[in-house]
Amino acid sequence: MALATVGVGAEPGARVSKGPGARPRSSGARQFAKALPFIGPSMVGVALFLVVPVIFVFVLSFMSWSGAGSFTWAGIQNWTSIFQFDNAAHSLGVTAYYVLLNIPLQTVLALGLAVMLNRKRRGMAFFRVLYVAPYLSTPVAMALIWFWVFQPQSGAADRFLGLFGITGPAWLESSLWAMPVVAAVNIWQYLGFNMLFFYAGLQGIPPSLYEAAQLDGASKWSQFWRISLPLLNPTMLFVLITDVIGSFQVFDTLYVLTSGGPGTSTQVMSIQIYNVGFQGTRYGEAAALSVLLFGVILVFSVGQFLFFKNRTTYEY
Amino acid sequence: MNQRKWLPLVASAGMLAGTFAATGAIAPPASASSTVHLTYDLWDPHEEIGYKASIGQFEKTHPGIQVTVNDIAYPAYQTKLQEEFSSGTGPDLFWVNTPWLSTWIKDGYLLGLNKYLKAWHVNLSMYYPSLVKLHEYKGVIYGIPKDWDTIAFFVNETYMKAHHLTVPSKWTWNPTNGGTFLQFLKQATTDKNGVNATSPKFNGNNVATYAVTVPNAAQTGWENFWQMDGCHVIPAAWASHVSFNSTPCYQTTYFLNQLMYKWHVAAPGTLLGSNGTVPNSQDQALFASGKVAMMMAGDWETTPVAEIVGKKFKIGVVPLPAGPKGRWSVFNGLIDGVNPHSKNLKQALELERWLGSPASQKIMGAGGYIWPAVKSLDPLFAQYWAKKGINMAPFLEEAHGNVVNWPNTPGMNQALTDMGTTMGPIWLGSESLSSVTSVLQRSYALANHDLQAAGA
Repeated sequence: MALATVGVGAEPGARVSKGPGARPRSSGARQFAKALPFIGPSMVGVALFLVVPVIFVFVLSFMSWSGAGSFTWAGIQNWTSIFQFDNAAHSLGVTAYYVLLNIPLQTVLALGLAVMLNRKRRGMAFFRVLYVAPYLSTPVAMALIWFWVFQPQSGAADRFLGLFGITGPAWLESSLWAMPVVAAVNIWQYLGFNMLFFYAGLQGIPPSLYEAAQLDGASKWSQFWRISLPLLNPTMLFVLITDVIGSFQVFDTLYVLTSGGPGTSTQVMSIQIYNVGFQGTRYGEAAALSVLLFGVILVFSVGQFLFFKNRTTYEY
Repeated sequence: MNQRKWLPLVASAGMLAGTFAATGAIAPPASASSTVHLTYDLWDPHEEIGYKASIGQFEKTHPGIQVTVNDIAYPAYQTKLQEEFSSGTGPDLFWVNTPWLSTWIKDGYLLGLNKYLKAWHVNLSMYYPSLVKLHEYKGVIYGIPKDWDTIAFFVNETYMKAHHLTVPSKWTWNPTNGGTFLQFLKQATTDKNGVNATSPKFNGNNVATYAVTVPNAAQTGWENFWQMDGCHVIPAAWASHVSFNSTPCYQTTYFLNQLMYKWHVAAPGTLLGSNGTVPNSQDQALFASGKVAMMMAGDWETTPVAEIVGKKFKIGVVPLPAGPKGRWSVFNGLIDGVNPHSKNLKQALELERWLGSPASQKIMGAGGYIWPAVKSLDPLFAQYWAKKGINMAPFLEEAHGNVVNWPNTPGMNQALTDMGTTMGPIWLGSESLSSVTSVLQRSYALANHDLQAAGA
């Protein structure tokens, strides 16, 4: 028997009645004045450390500045230079490749782990902690350890393969293998963290829905597809949005493992922004690369919101 | 307004004040002490020990000055220093390496020292003239030379002896047939069956010991070979463009690729870290483990090499082979830059004067940390290492021969970084002459852009 997708939202047009003791609604201005002391410090912080720098970066993308001396107007020169000399198109492609390697596998594995751990059996708490442990570790420290693991010949990976008579590739010096290795390390590090969100999402689904489905004869697989997955859409949206943004901005692990090499095969946008800005002191071009990356992330984020907009329910 | 309504405002004001205080907007009261604290940035943990000893002497004779030495890892050094200068927190005194020199002069990070040198009656003729000239721009000297270095090969003498090999005293190379250099490298490379690379039975895919490492690096790698074949990174100091778009550059680089991937006598770049650029001194580890018999290196690596090798084998030093245009070595030296915006300029200048003086360089040379820039003190460094069983004479011999400075023009550091990245594939796999040529042409365009963007 086919099971209808569950989604019981609030009734359209439903109104919340005001009780006898309800206070009259304050005007927006009065509410804002009341809230201001509480949100004021945060607003100052956001303005100083987010809004102003973002505006500065936009403006800087049309300026020439070496980090010292004066700013000079460069027009669109930075924007043409990033494509002509700074490998912007290549770096965008490499970044997209990394996102493609990282996101689908990480999401599927995290969801799978969450489903496996969402059982009332002994030892589940231990495994939850175990899977989250990599996330609690410092990415740079972990990347350094993986760096040694993947060293050619002397690394643990090659030594392990050597036990079976297999000569491993020079993992991090091979343009074929370097990016998959980086993606694997990141998946390992963030898998448990994402699993936690899916696990929390699964815990929030009322057991009565599964009980009803069981009474109707639905299989476990069918329950997963028809109940769990649709009701996890808010979690999925959150996980995908944050993971895609994080993947587009990947830096620390990649910098330690490959620094963008071999050649430029793992030169993602963040690495290139760092190289052009902080090493090349061409801050205008680095700002243009940053704005480009911002635009790409914005497009992907809006796209994900639109995709999930009509597929998500927050109430059941 | 009652007290409860005030509470959020007071709390907010407190948080704001805390934020400002934490970010330094509210400065702590000035110290009443008369002691001046100087900051001194450098990047070499081995030389740091020697400099701390020298600065200890300085502090004894200058009781009102205390110096804090900050050791910043080399890969982060340029970035960190520039950030400090941008935020107005630059160190009082700091090491300056040649690839940044002209950029930092142009950006105003370095104080011109002419009037102070004159006041201190510094006799510049006691230093290597090329070092003085390297740090001079438009008649202004930006630092007192304090050390120098050249490039040679550290040799595993125990391995050579076991294989009855002696490095030729006058060996030569050329990009056509490799010369006596290649012949010797073939003799010194052995596969896991003990067969050397002169034999047709040699298995290049199963090498036990490579003869040599030639990293993808300007100073300790390709620039030496380029120069020996008439290829120059830049035509002259403060050049507006690079000049490695010529046939000698292409054929020499191709020759280095063949050392790794045709003749299998040089350790492949895949063993030398990211793009073969030895970011973590992978060549030292390979040398110490016996995986390579000779390591192309600068003399500043003597301490770490001696430490990592320990008593595993005896270390020797041999000079570079001579190329078609003779034997050339990259020659470099450091200065201490004085921050023109230092709040303790007078004291910073005193430290500059001390570290450039023969008295300080004597401490550094005698401790085996550096070749002093004061020519007459050269024997001190050689004597220190002779007592440790390493003959450093080939480095000195090269310093007195043909030398080329590490390229010095605005934007050069980024150009070298980009060259290392774009040339990576040449170190990571077998390439044809045409593909090497196209890689170098791409690298040439990028390097020129770097120079132009930096205002060269």
